[in-house]
Amino acid sequence: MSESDSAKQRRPGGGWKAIVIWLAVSLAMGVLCWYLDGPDAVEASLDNYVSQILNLIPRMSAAVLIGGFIQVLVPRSLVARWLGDGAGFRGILIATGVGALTPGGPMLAFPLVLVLRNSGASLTSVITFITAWAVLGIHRIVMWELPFMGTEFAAVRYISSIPLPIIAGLTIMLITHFIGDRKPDDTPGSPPETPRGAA
Amino acid sequence: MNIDASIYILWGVVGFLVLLTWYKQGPQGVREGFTGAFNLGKVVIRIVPFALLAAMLLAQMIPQQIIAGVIGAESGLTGIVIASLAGGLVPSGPFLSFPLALSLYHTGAGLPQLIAFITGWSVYASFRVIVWELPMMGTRFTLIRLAASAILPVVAGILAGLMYELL
Repeated sequence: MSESDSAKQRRPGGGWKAIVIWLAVSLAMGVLCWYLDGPDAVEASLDNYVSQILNLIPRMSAAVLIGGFIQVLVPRSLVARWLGDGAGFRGILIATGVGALTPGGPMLAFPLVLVLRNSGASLTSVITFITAWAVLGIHRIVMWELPFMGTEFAAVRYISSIPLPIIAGLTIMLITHFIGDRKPDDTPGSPPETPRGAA
Repeated sequence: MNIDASIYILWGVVGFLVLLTWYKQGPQGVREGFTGAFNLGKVVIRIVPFALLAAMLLAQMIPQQIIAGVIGAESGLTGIVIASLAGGLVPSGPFLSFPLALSLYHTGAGLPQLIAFITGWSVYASFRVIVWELPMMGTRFTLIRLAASAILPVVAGILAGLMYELL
């Protein structure tokens, strides 16, 4: 299952309905903008919009190709294998690295986290992984941040975010020290059928 | 904003990934890559142009002085905190948050504040929490994760502010 296959079904806004909704939202915004700020404001927005779109076309085309190829190069099974080894601070560092390299949106990451958690991964490593995936995910940066925000912004944000998964991981270590890794009645579930086979 | 270099980086990465896929998985892998990209492109093209238009009109309506005052470059730590929370409330995926960030930049938001905004969207992620995390991982997991993530966007904003001062 590729990200885009499931995205078509699951991501709100995959189909034609999305276009209608977004067009309606844009139209409402346009009318409101005209009403509040006058036709000049609408015209300024549209001018700005056209130049942004022209900027985005060559960049998003590349971004989409990158997304497609990363899905082929980094299958889910690989992520699961990496995340399986390492506990403590070393585990946090591994989970950070793996999270940064894991491609795809939430429809890919959360099923993976669920499987890992059910097969015994600690709260520290899965939450560090999710945090790293959210703030350091290279896939999202090339696909969205570089085209929209440019190189300098992306670089500064990235460097500023490198400590974040580590902070989160250490905090979870502290929290679970007091309240435990699982609820007393919550034992690791049955071994998952996948993820090793799933690509 | 300087976005000139990004186009070369992006197409450079495309070239590299195509060659790497060819080397590791042969023509079959390359074909799968293009198929995946095509499917991804269909999703993107149905959302981004419209979300961007809506975001730009929205940002146009919020008076520039308000954005500049609340999350402008001079707004400091308060602005970073507000931007973090605002980011967490963006009710959607990257196809809305990045157009919004771009529009906010054009209407006077400060760069450290924007970085806090993006990070708040990434880790608080109200939309992702409701649609994915709560149903799949449960309340306990979600609350523990949010507790450990509470200060992260503020940390990122402060570090970014320090970096911009050095640049």
